[in-house]
Amino acid sequence: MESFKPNAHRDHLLVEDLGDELIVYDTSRHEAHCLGKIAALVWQHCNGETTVSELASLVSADLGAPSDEALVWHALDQLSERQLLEPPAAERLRATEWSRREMMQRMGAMAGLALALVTSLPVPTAAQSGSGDTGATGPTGPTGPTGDTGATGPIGDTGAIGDTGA
Amino acid sequence: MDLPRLAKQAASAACDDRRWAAGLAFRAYGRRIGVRMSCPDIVARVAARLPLGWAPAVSPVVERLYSLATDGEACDDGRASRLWVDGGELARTTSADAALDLLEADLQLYVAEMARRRIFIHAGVVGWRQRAILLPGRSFAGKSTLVAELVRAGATYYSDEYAVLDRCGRVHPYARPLSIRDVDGRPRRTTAAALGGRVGERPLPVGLVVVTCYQPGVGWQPRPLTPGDGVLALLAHTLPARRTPAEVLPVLARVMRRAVVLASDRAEARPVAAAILSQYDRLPART
Repeated sequence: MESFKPNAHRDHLLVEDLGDELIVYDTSRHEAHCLGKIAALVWQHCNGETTVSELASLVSADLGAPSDEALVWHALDQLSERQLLEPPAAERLRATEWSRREMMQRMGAMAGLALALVTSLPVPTAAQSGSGDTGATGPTGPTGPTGDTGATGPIGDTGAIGDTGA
Repeated sequence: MDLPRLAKQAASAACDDRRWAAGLAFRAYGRRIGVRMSCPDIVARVAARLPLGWAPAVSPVVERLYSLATDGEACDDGRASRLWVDGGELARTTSADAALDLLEADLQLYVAEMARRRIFIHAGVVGWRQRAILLPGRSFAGKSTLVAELVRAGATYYSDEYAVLDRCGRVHPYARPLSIRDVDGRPRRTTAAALGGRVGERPLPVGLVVVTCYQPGVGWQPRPLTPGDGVLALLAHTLPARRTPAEVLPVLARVMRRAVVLASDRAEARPVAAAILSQYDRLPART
C-alpha cells in the first residue's frame, strides 16, 4: 500500500487559491469543488511521485500535529469521487474497500478533523441560477390548444406490382 | 432609423417575411439588442420593459433580435401575440401583456448572463458603512423582503435582484423598484424612497455575504462560513458561471478574501435585518 503514488487530474480545471482552501472548477463537468486545507494539501502533492505515507507526513507537518494515513486515504477517496485524481487512483481506492470501515473508526477518533474535506456544487445554468429548488410534481394541467400542422412527410415506398389483367 | 437586424443570420427565419412596423435598437451592459414590432403603438410599452441602464444604439445591427407580433393575426389558435428571438419562436400568448412579460424576462436573463465587464449574481444588495451586504438567493427565497427591511433600518438600497460586480469585486447599483409580494403572492413594485430609504449611486466593496432563506418558525442563528464555501454560495447564483468561469472565479475569490460570510435560515425579516446590521458592526475590520 505504501508504494501507491496518486496523481492529480488537472485537465479542464480552473484553480483559485484562497489560502487555506482551493476552489477547483471542472469546466468539462461544470462542477465546483472547495478543497479544505487537508484535501488541498493532499491534492497539490499528488504528482505521481509521492506516496501516501509521504503525503501523511506533509499533512502532519502542515497541521503541526500528528497525522494519519487514514486521513490521507479519506482525502484521496473524496478527491477520486470528484474525478480530481487520475483513474488508476479510483481503482486503487476501490481495492482498499476492505479497510474503509477500520479507517472510518480511526477517523472518528481524530477529534476536530472534519470528515467532509471537499464540498462540491453542480454549477447551475443561468436560467437555473435564479429559479427555486425543484419541488414536487404538480397536478396535470388542462389540455393545450392544437398545435400547428406538421410538415408533409416523405414520399412512401412504391407499392407491389399488381396481378396481370385477364 | 432602419429596423434592427442581426449581424449574422445563418438562414432567413419565417418571421422575417412578416411586416414589421417599428423597431428599437439599444445597448445594455455592452450588448447590442433589437426589438422589432408589428404595431407602432406598443413601442413605449416595450421601452418600459428594457433592462436597467439601456441606451439607444446608433447602429441597427444587433447581436440579439426579438420580434414581437401583437397585431392579432399571428395565428389561428386564439393566441394573438407571438414572440421570436433570433428567428426562433419563443412564445405564443393570448395577450400582448403576457408577451411583454416574457420579453422582459428573457431580455433580463440574456443581459445578466452575457453582460460585458460585469458579473451578475442573483442577490439582494444594500450598502452599509461604505460596504455592500449581499444576500444571494433564488426567487422566492425572501430576498426582497429582507432587503426592504434593511432599507427601512437605514441601509442604502442597491438591488433586490442582482448584485452586479465589476472585475475588482465592487458592487454596482441595479436599483429597480423593489418587487415585494403581497399577501396573495403577487409582486408589487415599491421604491426605496417609499420605504424611507435612498438608492446607492457608487460602487462598493463587499463587506458581508449573508446566505439565508425564509423558513417559517426558524430562529436566526448565523454561523460563519469559510471563504471557499462563500465562493460556492455565490457561484450557485452567478448567471455567467458556466459561460465564463475563468472570469468569474477570480472575481468571486477577490470578494471572499475580504468579506465575511454568515449563514442561517430565518423567519421574520424585520428582527433579522436589525441583527444583520448589528452583527456587521461587530465584525473585525477587513481591508
